[in-house]
Amino acid sequence: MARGWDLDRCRSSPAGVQRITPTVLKKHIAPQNCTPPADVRSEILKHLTENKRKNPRDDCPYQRALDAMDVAGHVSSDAPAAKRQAEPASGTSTGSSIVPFIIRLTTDEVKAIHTTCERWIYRWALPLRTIESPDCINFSKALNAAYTPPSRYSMAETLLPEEFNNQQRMVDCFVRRCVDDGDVEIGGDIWGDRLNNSTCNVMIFTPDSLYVENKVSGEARHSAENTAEFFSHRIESLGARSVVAIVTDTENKMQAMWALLQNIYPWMLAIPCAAHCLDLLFGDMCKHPYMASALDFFSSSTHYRRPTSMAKAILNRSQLAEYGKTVQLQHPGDTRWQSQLIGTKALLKTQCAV
Amino acid sequence: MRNETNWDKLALFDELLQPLGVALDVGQSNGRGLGAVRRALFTFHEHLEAFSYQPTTEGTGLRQLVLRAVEKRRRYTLCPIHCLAYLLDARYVDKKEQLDTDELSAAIDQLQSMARAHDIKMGTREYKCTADKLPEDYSRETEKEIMAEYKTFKSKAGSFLHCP
Repeated sequence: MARGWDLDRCRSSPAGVQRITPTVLKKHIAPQNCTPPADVRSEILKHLTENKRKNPRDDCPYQRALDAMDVAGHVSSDAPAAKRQAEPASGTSTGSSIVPFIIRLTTDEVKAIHTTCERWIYRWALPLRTIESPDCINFSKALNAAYTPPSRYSMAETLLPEEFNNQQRMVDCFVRRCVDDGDVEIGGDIWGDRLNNSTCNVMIFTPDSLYVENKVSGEARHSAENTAEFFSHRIESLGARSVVAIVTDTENKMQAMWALLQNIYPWMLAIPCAAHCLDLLFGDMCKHPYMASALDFFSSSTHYRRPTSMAKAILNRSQLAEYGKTVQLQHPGDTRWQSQLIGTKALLKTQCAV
Repeated sequence: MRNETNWDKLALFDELLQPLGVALDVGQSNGRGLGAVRRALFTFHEHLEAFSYQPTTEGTGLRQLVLRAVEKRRRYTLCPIHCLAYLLDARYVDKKEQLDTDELSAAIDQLQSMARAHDIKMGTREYKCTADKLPEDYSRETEKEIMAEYKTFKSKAGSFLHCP
């Protein structure tokens, strides 16, 4: 069969050319400027097709190439036509008639794709199970069938720490540059969980705001002195003269902390968080009985149509009949700013259906 | 649910607080919005004053409450730095809402102290000492330059005048 082709390794295998490996193909059969004879090609395609039939639902490019060869009658002059028909199935062509069937990614290519994948998971803080979800795998296979996404274990143990280190280096460089320019504002808030663990979120505001630190405070008491000490430590590490302002909410304790910090750093500005103040203003206005009754009506309406209730299903039908689409009701949340306003808008949009 | 009054109240709630929702959205977005804080509060105050409340005792009470609330939060929120940012923002140069005398003097003081702080920072680097041990004749170049630039800005003689 081989007619001078070095297929000894394939013959020595009990399964014949079914077990032919891409390495062997590349090395022995499909080097550049080397076209295998038609009978060798036909034989290999037959074996590959038989092997592929184990999963009959798959589209088999080898079968199409074999059919094309049959049409051509193994005539070497018609080989380019067969090659042209085989090419679309593979998607790539490297000059050999065998190579298109074997698509392999180099280590560098796999690494590059892994990097983009890990960045996606890291930046959007996606759960690790995302990468092993069938939809994600199908999507990646549709883009490039030769690529297999990393497992969640390699993602957790190797790739994400690597990405974290890369990001950390970038953040450090960025902060250093802003500190050198003396263009840094620091902001943050301290809070405690049910176990009395104090956590402080520290933000560095630069021309682009940047999250820097989330630290568990050693002090259980959130007194102004403790909080000032915590922030002072962070300010010193940035270089006191580089920090021009501190931004927090306007709680009494925080105002006391401003005074303490301004004693130490007289040039530093203490700026109340404007968005937080506007949210408090929103709360103040909702205290009026007129507004409160509107909010009560809104809360009871949305709560009655909570997602699992029959009322919600009926509302959805009414919406479809009225508007031709469903409009989701928004539920208010204590910790979500202006959620009442967003929810009110959604409820007003579906007034006729309600 | 069939009571139209409830829906009217809801519509009024939405209409009254609409600008505040916009301000909250803008306030949470990335960008430099220090100068916009004062403007947002002013715009919101204008909206609340011009709003058509119900001609009832309840409507009048609501009007008084919201205006009082805005004034209270305005006092809490606005600092000299907001006034300074507003003063130096070219978008608000010709607006009818301008700083009053107290706000203006606080803003200028703020500008001077910030410029001075920069000079002190440079001085401590140059003389390698703390701020209280700086010699009397340390360079106050930044303060001079910034105040000169502020005067140019106020007299509208800045380089933007030469733009087409």
